[in-house]
Formats: sequence, C-alpha cells, structure tokens
Amino acid sequence: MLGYTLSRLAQAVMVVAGVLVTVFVILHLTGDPAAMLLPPGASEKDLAVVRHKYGLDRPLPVQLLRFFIGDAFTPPGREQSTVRLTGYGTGEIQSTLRRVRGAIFGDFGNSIRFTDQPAMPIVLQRFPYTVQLMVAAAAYSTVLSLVLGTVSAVRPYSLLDQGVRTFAILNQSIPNFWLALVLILIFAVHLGLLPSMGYGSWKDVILPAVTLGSQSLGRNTRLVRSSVLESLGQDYVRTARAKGLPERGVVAKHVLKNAMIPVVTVWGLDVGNLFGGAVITESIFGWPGTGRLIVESVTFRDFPTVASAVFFIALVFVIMNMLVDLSYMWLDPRVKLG
Amino acid sequence: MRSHANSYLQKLRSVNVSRRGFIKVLTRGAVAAATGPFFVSRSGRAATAKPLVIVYGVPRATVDPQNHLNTYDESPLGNIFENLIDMSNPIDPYKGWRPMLALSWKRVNEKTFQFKLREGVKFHNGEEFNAETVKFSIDRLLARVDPNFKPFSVTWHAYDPIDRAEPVDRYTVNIITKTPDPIVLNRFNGFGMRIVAPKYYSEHDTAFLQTHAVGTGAYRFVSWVKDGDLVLEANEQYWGGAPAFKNVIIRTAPEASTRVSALLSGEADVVIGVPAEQADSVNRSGRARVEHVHSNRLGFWRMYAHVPPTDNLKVREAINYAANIGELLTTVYNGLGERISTVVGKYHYGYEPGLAFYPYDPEKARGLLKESGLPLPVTVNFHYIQGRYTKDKDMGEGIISELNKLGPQYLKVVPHLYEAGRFYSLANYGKLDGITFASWGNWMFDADIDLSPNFHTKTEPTPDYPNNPALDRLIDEARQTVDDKKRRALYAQAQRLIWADSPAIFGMQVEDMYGVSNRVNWKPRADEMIWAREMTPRG
Repeated sequence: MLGYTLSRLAQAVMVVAGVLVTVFVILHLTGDPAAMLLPPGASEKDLAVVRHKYGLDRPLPVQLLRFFIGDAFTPPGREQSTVRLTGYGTGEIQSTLRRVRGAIFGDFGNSIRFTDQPAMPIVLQRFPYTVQLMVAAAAYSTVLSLVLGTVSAVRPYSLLDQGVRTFAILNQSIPNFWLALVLILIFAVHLGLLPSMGYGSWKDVILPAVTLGSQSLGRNTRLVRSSVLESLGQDYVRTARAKGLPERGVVAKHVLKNAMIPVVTVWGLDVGNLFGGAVITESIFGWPGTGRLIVESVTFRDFPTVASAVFFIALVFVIMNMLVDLSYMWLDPRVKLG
Repeated sequence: MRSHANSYLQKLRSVNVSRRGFIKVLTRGAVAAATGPFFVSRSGRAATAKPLVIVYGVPRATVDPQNHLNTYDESPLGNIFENLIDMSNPIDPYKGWRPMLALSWKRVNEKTFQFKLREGVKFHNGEEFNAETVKFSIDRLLARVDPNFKPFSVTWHAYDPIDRAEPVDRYTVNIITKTPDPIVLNRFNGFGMRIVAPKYYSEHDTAFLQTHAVGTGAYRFVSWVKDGDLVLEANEQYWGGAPAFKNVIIRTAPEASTRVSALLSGEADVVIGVPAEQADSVNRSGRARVEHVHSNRLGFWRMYAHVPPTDNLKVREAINYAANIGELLTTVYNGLGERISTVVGKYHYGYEPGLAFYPYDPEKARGLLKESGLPLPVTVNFHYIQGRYTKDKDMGEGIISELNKLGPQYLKVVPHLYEAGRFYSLANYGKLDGITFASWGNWMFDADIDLSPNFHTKTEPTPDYPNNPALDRLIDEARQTVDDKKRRALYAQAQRLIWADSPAIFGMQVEDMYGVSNRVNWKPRADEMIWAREMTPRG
C-alpha cells in the first residue's frame, strides 16, 4: 500500500515535470514576448532591454535551469544592470531583475502582461472562478445524467429511451463553442432570460455551466444507462424483486449503488475535460477564470503566467487521478494493486 | 491572497439559488415563450440609473495610466484620468487641441512651453490639482519618483525630449525641453501623460497602483477584477459637470458574437469591433445601431526597398499599380474605410491630401516588370497576419490574389501567414523581406511619428530601409522646425518623395465599428478612446 502510494507519487512528479518542460519549449519556439510588449517599429535596443528585464536574453538551457531552480546559482550583481536606450530619444534606464525561486517552489517569475506582478498569485486568484464554473457544470451534468440514464435504462427501447439517447448523443457531439452561441442566441438575445456574459450572480453561471457540462452530460448519461441496464440483469436484482420490493426501491437501493462504480471512475477524468472545456467556455462567456487567463496569456507570450497556470492545472489533474486510483482500494476491496 | 479568498467566500454565500428565484425564472420563461421572443418586458427604471456597460474585446492589464502602452488600457482609463489637453472631437488636427486640465498654452521660447492650468480641480481622494501635480506626474513618468517604476521604453522615447517641468506659480507650469521641440504640445496627449494624484501615487508602491486608481476624471474607480469587470461611479464634483450615467461597468468579451449578443439582449450599451457582416442585423434589431468612424489607425503594406526583389523601383511601382486597393476596400470592408495615398495618417499634422491614388492598371504593371531588368517571373514574399485587426487576413489574401492576376509568367507571390505574436517577433527583428503588413496608430497626431520610425534610414530594426538620403534630410529638418508653415511644406515634400519612391502599397484609414444601444447617444472617436462622459441618454 505504502509502496504503491509512493510510486504513484513519483510518477505524478515526473508527469508534472514533463508538462513543465514541454510548456517551456513550446512557448519559446513560438515567438518573442519582448516583441509583443512593444509596438511594431520598436528598436532592437528597446527589445534588448525588455528581453534582459525578463531574462529572455540568456541561452535556452540556462533559461530552463533558471525556470526550475530560480536564481540560486546566479552570481550576485548579474541581476542589476543599466542599459542605454537609443531610438528617437536617448536616456538611461535602470533595469533590476527580481530573484526568482524557481518552478520547484511554485515561483515562475513575474507576469509579463500584468507588469511586475508575480505570476502564480494571478493564477490562484482566478482559480475560484473556474472552480465555481466547474462545480456548477459537474453538478448539472451529474444530476441530469443520473436521472436521465436511469429513467432511460428502466424502460429500454421505449420512446423515452430513444429521446434520452438522442439528447445524450447531441450533447456529446455538439461542439462547445457552437452550443454556447446557440444558447446565448436563444436565452439571452431572444428570450432575454439569462445574461450572455458576466459573472457574479447565480444567473450568470447557468449558460456557461450548461455549455461546459454538455460533453460530460452526454457521456455520463450513456454510461449510467448501460451500467444500470447491466445491473438490472444481475441475480441480486432478481432476488430483490422476488422478496417483494417495489421497483423504485430496487432501482434506488440495489441497482444504482452498484452501477455507480464506472461512473465514479469517469468523474476523475472529467476534471481534466472540464478544465479543457473551460478554456473555450470562459472565453465565449467572458468568464474571468483560469481558462481565459491561459488564452490571454498565450496571446501575449506571457511565459510565466502560462507556465504557472499549466503547472497548477497539471498538478490538480494529477492529484485527482491519483486520488481516483487510490480510491479503488477503498471502494472495492477486490481490486488488487501493484 | 487571503482577503481575496474571503471576499470570494462572501460572494459564494450571496450566490444563493433560492427556489422562489428559480420558479420565477421558469415562469418568466414560460411567459416569454407564450408571448413571443420580442415581447419580454424589461425593467423600466430611470434611463441613467441602469449601469452603462461598455464591452471591449481585449482585457486591460493594469489601471496605472503611466505604466502601459496599449490602446485598450488607455481607452477605459480616460474615464478616470485626464491629460492637460485633448484632440478636438471629432478629431481634426486643423482644429487643433482643446483644453482639459490646462486652460491655455503658449511657447515662451524655443525650449520652453507654458501651460495655464484649470483652477479648483480636485482628485477623487480630495488632493488638489495644481502645477506641482503636473511636475509630479511628469517626474513619475520619467522614473524620477520610484526607482522600481520602470516606464516602458516606448513611453521613454516619447517623453525623453522633455527635460523637466517647472512650476511658475500655483496654476502655471513651464515645460523645458532638451532641444527645440515643435511637437511638445502633442506629447501631452500621449499615453502616460495622464495627471495622477501626487500623495496617493507616492505613498503606494508600483504593484499596488496597478490595481488602484485616483485621478481627476468624470468617473472614480470602484473595483477591478483582472480579465473581469472594471467598475466606475460618477464623480459628482467633476469640473465639466457630473456625467449623465452614474455607474459604468467595463467588461471584456473576446468573442465578437458574444459582444453583439450582449448588445442585442440589452446587457451592453457600447461594444467594440462589430463584424461588418453583422452590422445589418444590429441595425435592424431596433435595439441598437452601428456607429462607425475612420480610425486614426493607418493600414499599409511595406515594401522593403533594401533587399531584392523589392529594391527595384519598377517592381515596387508595378505592385502598387496591380494591388487594386480601391476595389478591395469595397469587397473586403463592405465599402468602409477610406483609401489614402500616403503613409501619414489623415488626422495627423502634415498629412498631404494632394497625392493621387495609384490607379489599377495591370497592363502598366506587367510593362514595369518587363522593364525592371529582372528575370521573369519576379518572385516576391508576402507577409501578413491574422487575428490582430479587422479583416487583416482577408485583406492580405485579397492583395495576393490581385497580384497573382498579373499572371504566373510575370509575378509569383509567395504568401506567408502569421499569428500576430510570431509576426511581430520577426518584423521587429527586421527578418522579413518583400511585402509586409503594417498597422500604425499615432497618439501625437503628427507626421514625425509616422515617418521617423518607419521611413527614416536610421530606423531600427531595418537600418538601411528605405535608403533614401533625400527623405532622411526632410524628416530630420521637419523634426527640428518650429515654424508651422515651413514644417508643413517639408512634410508635403517628404510624402511626394515617398509616393514616387513607392516603398509601400498605400492603404487606408481603418474603419472602427462600434455597436451602440439605442438608449445611448454617442458618436465614436477616431482615436479609439471610449469615454462614458461623452455619452448621454437618448429620448
């Protein structure tokens, strides 16, 4: 048990480190943040100042090392320098680099878009908004999928079942961005019932949550349906019915409980899917969560913020998966590990 | 961090989905469905009590007016902070500047410029506005207040010619420049030249001031969530009279269709960047309309005159004769946007209106290519971008297809499409050749800022472009000429030279499209500033 937990932990650390290296390499391949900070026509000297200010003028391996362990080995004095500016004006500007503690301490340096503000706290500030959206979406998709899936399984191949299955497939196959626009058009523009954008009141969360939850609603409804259907044919159900339990009691007490195991497994994976979906959903509904932050930061080549956000999300995802894996032992003692 | 978590918890508690509320929504839904989508009653409170909602496409990164360099940061902050002067509105450089916190101004001598300031103006925190305040704001901008405050180098460039501000008396301040500077007044319209409250801005550190704001403007800062809402309330003591709308919410929706939806559902009052193809449906909605204006922003396509094949004048001319810009403006921009035949903006001091358009003449273009002495077909790279400005990609593709119409035996255009970040990192290093997209705004409304950075040989990052010493002399001379008439003549001459030298496919003043709710009276400004105090309730 302890050995398994430790090996899972080690794997998790490797995964997060791999994610970090990938993010670092991809971001550095796609463009120069210094150029994004200055308008076109900015002089090479000015670009040099900005690059120096954010440590972008160092060799890539050095940047990677600094990214992980910070300025622990940077000789003192290196972080202080004066650069002379040219262009259509002259002057001197003092550029001081903050000592960063490195990715392993969760310090990714200062954000480039939000000038001189540490990147990690910006991500953490935005996380509650995403959690709010994810919880709402998960609640919507879980409750509705349990109800629809069960109802559908109890009367297989009925008209109701056909309807539910069509609904589930539509939910799973309609792309988020399109569903979002259609929902906005119907509920905000035509009916005027719900806001098309914004955050803060409970009304604001409905459309984004329905959009974000649609994929997992579709998948989970079908999963619950097949799982319940399978359980309904089991011996213990026949026994329950034989002892005279009403059908509602049979389904609620015996079938659903046993049908839950595969559903719980999928919930763990849903966290990742919801994070991924949040990137699109938050952008469309103007929701100030982590997903939006990533999109805006990528556009700005804001390395530190993107790295912080991806690190944080990878961490949450890996921890969730680890908990799901470990919970098998607790949920079902028959599951053997190792 | 903790205080944020607490406020978040409080918010969660207040987000209380009551059963009654839910039933209310359901009932309203049923009623709405029964009565048809357009008969939903909307709350009829006083026209100005409902907050005015302005929706941008790009979120702001800071509320420090002196520590940014983006138009979308500057635009909303104009509600909270003010400059000494403002360009006339509607913008017209011939009508000149209008007074804001300064009442009048004059040149004292070649290096000294004097402002008389408005009296009795107070900052939102009660501090008094006076000559010392102006000195403080300029010192802060030039990084003389807080050693940790690092102005962006572009701001540094723009204001470096200013040596210092010297208060003469309580409401008079002299600006001393390092050299004779014809556009010292224009600099006071620039980004960063907002006047800030000295006590507040010296007591708090740079990081704090990125999320808190105290100015003299018509609205005071209430709150701001990054990538979320910037909330403002009316400054009842405003020197220009209290604004009509008492509460303003500035939000961001990156998706154009979300912005239009918010406008049509009555949640937004002003939205930026309405796509041309949605303008009709907005105008037909009965709830909102599209207001458009020729932007101060200039679009053109640079032809690098220092590398082959565009170092050949005949090739550059041929491309201008074949690009068919007039026709493309009609098809790509639905006839919006105004064609110009120079690289100085229409609203900028020194703009030369007397230059002819290059006519569309493919025969002449083919002839010029034959005369160029280069082996045919001439192969030229075309670098363009997507996703930064309205229809940037469509316009680029339009020009490519027009050029290709010359025939593969004459001209071969190799398209290179970039996402904006990648493009600017190459363009700013001078790593591109052939034909390259360019978009140029200009907060000083002066030809110097159009020509010096773009068309002077000493310009970085391409120091030998466009390689015309005669043009360099004109630009240098105009920059130091204080005499108005002489300066205009120099710029006219420079632009005639540029026209003949053809270092760019001459383009257009871009068109800005705003969606405006029918409850608001507002004419958009050409400088992309959206100021709520210029809006009034309609009807």
